[in-house]
Amino acid sequence: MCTYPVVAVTIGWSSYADPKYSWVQTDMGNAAATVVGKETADITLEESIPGIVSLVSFPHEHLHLYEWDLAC
Amino acid sequence: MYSDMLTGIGRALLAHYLSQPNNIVVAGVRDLKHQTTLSLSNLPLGAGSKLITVKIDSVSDTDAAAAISTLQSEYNVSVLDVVVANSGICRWAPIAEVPISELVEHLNVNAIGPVRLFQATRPLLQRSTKNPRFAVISSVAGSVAEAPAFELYFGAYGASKATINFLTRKIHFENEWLTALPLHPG
Repeated sequence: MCTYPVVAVTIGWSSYADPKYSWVQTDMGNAAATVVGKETADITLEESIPGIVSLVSFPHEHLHLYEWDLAC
Repeated sequence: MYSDMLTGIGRALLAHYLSQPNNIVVAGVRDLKHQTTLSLSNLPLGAGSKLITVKIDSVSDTDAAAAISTLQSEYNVSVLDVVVANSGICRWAPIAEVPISELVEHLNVNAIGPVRLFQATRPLLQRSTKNPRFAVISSVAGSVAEAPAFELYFGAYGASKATINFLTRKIHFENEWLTALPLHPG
């Protein structure tokens, strides 16, 4: 059996502090949402995946630098 | 190529790319016989697309390299255009109380794991003629600047994401032919 939870999901903060970040409805994201009193995370996988795919699919230097600023 | 693809974002990303035409999608999983792994073969395939499953445990120093060797010898795959490091763990505890072993495990899985994957896949990415990309599913939890805003006990997780955010940025600038980026998916 697994020694740690299967696969990732990242968590964000829209429901907590900053509307530009959200949690995704996965095991990890939903668990985080419950900490702040919500039943589930706000963002569905159907909403998250196209965003990830678009960022991975367009290796444009300026876009990436912008995202770096957002993420880091 | 993706790790680890069993559930959540990993599985959803896998399903997306498999549903598109003419993609060879490699799923890295910890257990090739796991029921969830076996269920991946039921995902809809786009025309000309196929799924290859290989064993990669993020904390193994040898799995990723062995998987790449298998890809080349058994599947004749010697080029990768996109690699996504997706595996991760998250447990919550105040840093005053977090077991040191748990802190080490977060760093090992969430930060060192993607570096293991990068080192193993780098030669295949370098052969790509399609703007090769190395993406890490990360989190704003790893932002040093944002840390004061969130009174949540994700210290071990956030530290591991801060580490991989930095390492991914270094990967980006150390390899001018490669676009490497961490993503916050929410």
